[in-house]
Amino acid sequence: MLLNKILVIGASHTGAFRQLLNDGFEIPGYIFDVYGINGAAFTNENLIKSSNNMLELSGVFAEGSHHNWFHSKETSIINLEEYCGVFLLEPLFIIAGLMRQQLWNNRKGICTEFLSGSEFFFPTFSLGKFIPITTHQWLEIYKNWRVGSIITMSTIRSINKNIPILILPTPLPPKRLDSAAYAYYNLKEQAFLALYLQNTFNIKFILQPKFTLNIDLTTFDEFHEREPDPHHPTPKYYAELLSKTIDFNSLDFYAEFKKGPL
Amino acid sequence: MSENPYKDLPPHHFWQSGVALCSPFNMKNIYIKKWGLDPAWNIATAGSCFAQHISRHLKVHGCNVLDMEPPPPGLPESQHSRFGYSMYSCRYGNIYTAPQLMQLVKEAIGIFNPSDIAWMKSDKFYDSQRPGTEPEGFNSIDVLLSHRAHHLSCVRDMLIQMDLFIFTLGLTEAWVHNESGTIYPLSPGTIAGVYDKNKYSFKNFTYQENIDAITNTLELLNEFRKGKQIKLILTVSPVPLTATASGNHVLNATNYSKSTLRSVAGTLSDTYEDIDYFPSYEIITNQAARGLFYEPNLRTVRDQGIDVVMQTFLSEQGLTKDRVTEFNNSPVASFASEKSYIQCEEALLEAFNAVK
Repeated sequence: MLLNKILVIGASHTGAFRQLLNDGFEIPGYIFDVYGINGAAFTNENLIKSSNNMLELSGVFAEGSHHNWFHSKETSIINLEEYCGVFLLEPLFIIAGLMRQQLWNNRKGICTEFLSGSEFFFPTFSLGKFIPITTHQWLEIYKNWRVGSIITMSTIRSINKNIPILILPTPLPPKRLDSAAYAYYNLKEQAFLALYLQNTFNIKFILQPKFTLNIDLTTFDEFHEREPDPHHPTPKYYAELLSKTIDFNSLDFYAEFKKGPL
Repeated sequence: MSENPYKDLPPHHFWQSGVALCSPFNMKNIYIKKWGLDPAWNIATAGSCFAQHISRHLKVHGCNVLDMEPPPPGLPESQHSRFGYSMYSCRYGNIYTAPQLMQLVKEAIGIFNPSDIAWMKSDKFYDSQRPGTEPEGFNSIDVLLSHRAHHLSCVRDMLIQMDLFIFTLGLTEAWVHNESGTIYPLSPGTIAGVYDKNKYSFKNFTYQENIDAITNTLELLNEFRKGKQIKLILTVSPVPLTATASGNHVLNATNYSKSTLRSVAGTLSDTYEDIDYFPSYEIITNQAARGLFYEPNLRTVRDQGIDVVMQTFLSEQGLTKDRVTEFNNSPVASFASEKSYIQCEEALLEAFNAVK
């Protein structure tokens, strides 16, 4: 039987995906090649490039350290023609670094639009003193900060305009990582970003499914790792996503999950 | 030779020796400071687009130019001026007229509310008082108002903290809301909004209206700052009008506007000890330069001209090269010395004119 191959590429979340495969998880008829690198590397534009119609991955220096790719194959040269689809595990991973610490935690750049409607979930939440930014500024900050993410998608598209690219949702922060309102805010950030990526790179996406979330929009404990990396998903999280949300015949998400969890 | 009042005057008082035979790159005595600028002062800047050059050069030379509304962390430097950041001490964009400056001060201290604050284009909302600072517009009026409230709080902080205010007078022409008298920096219908001749009118502010605007602004500031003294440096932008709605030829309108503003600055400088005039206008328009300081469009001032203007100012103020060296080694130097694109919404008028 000829197996369909899917390229899985992303940040440290790929560790959980790889672990899932190591544990024997299977989607009949499909195999997965996994390439992962520390999320910080996506702040560097040199982590991926196109060479002779192949994707070429490079280790990079980012945020104070050198980072290398981890992969399930011997080579860091990827022939996209071997694959029927790409799963990206990184672009919506905006809970880390600059955007959470500086913009949200320090209130140095808040899009109030991303909190619109949050009163239902968090009636007593108050931002306090903050500096407002628009969604346009937010997007410019993202594109500048996660330049490697943008390069990854544009490089794939420069080689193959039609291969399905599915962005698997990043789990929202667990309760103890941040205030609960941040989960709502982060979800809206992801929705805004994913829509932009869909329009720009023709990607497919869903936000984190409701069945993995608490009522306050934080992630169930079984779907995220323990300290010190509670922002990482567990293998079980990806098992649920692959089993329940993706139609592997069309390589798209089931329509019921495209509405989002809110 | 018989006695006459010109007999013992120095060379720069005579056209031949002061201008015709003098290098436009090094005009002696064209600016004699009224008082020294202490680089430790909190300096605030505002005005027409030419004022952006002054702000940038003062930062490079180690002056403490206030930035009360800095860009958010992570916004790339290439985007700063696009969103109106780091151009002036707050994100108010270009303030072309003195009456608009007075209006902003009144709004910041809570005694004025501009009418028609939101202008629309497609489904986006633009702050009519600074339409160029959010180029893609706001997604709703609520968001626009929350951003404006934040902006005004930054302006208030600036008004309190500044020791020296440098204001570049740009135009006498503006557009006003008929019913409320609200002044706009641009005509509705350029960047956003809809021009309705029954709702908005062209206004060419007179000499006296400009004088009153500056003196009233200073009185308001004096009260708001509880008597804390402030110094003011006025300059006149040498950038000609892109277009005029006065009905006159644009050259006549430019000269009317600039000469009015030059007179206003001169009168105020002659009258008040705390107001100084710096002749950037004269340095750039100097006949001896034969238009050398302008780009081929005869409007945009060349970098060479800016350098001469700033060198004249800085050397008279004793802001030596040593200070530049010291500053260039500081962590903020790379940001301040980056030559950013100078925002001039007026140029949009030119673009609109070109597509006719």
